[in-house]
Amino acid sequence: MDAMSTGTGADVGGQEQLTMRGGRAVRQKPKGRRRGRRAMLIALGQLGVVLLILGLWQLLSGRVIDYFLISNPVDVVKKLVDVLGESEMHRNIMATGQELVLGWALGASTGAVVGWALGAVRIVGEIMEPILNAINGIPKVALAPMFLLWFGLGIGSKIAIASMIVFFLVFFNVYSGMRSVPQPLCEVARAMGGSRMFVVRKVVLPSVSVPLFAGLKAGVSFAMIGVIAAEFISADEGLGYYSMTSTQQFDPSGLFAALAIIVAMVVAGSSIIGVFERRALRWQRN
Amino acid sequence: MMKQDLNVEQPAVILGDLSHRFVTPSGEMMDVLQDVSVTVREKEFFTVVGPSGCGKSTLLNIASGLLQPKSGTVRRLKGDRELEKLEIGYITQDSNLFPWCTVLENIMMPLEIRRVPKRERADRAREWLKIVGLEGFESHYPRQLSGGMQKRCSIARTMVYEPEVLLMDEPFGALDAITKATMQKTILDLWQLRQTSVMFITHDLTEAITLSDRVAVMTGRPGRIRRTVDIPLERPRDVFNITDLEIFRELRHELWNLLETDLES
Repeated sequence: MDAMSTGTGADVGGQEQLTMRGGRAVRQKPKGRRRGRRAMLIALGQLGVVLLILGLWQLLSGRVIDYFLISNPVDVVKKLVDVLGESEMHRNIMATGQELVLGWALGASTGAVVGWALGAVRIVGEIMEPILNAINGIPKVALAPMFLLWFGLGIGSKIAIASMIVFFLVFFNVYSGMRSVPQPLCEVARAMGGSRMFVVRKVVLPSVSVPLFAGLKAGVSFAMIGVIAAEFISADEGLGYYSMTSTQQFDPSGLFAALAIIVAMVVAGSSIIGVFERRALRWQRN
Repeated sequence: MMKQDLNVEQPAVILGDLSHRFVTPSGEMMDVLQDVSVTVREKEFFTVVGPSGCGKSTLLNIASGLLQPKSGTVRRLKGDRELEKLEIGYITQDSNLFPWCTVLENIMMPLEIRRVPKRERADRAREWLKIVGLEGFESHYPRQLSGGMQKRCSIARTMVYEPEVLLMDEPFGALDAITKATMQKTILDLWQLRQTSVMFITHDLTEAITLSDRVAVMTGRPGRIRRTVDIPLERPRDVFNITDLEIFRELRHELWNLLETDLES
């Protein structure tokens, strides 16, 4: 068989290619412009809704609803600026941040590994899945008091709760992802002569990374739930502890300032993961 | 025609006295193939047609080595040498491209498995990209391509490692009529260019006659070869107008009759 080089037959199918390209070029422009206008409208709409809520909040506070129940946006912002300059708040942010990151990382890594293992070894997966499902049925926050007993009043119990919640989330995502790896693609890779490792690298990994990233991203806010709930029960630092004490001291501005920081942390965390996700799942985008 | 004359006697795929049965989900034995003997000659375009469920795909799976027959022999040859699994290309109805790989990465995949150096990989993949008419689409992902273009990509991915034998299982079954005809032209051009031996499965008689040197007609289940018909049409063939020829209609009639005898019984 001669070397394939010569490149004759380069025109095969050239026509289809041209029309496709032409069709795309013609279609894309107006679509792009319309999409831009739509995005603008959505952004403006969202800004409007937020302003409306803040306005109502400011207006109703102290008039219809007692001030000590809801404070008002202006005072919350003032409070936020104040506390962000205080070292006490820095300590709280650091504490919650640490618990969040460690809890998330521990839960995500164990969840991914166990999900992968149970997905790969079918029989063990089928034994374990219903059991894990049952355990998952427990509202994890209800276990917080027990975890305090086991892991102490410090950072350990907060990490334990957060990681347990994240574990189940990531586990189920990866496990079900392992079971829906497209089999025909595995067969194609094998038929090409690919080793098991090759199939894992080229088919299983990219296909599982879709639900994995979804789990990792959602895991941030779930981890925060665990951390804050554990801090509510017993802590001497952290944003959950701070919002608890603010409430007890009838300082709604402090509570809302803490909430704002919590939200900002969650948004920041999931955006960081989003960056990696977009890079890894580039093939999914338009 | 000339190139066939050079190798008339040289076999590329020999399937001898194949029989195969499946166990159905309800536990019954089902005979799919019964004493099927087929020889695909080197550089020949050989097609198997038959009613659906007659075991055509099973036959091809056996030829590819993916499936062990219950009895019979399978040989894939290049001259006197037995072919290795990696020298056999297999194209199915689904394009089965890797959605997370670009067109170029998809085509390079078999070369990566064969540990071809990186630079050469890209060069060879680009060349096939050009041959199948996907130039300019190397960085596209499969879902950004039309069905026909995906098919081209999967053909390039199979051809890039220069298989000696090409097995195709209704590769154009899911395409619209126009794309199908264009793809038939592509595959004929490639076959002429690469001088591969082809074993092609279809239930489309027009497609079978248009492409093939010989067409084997199978019976309904359990599949047997009813007869093998020579297609004495000149090459290169004009896939778009070939159906107008008188001889084409006669062949079609002949094949149809062979199929019909089975449908009546």
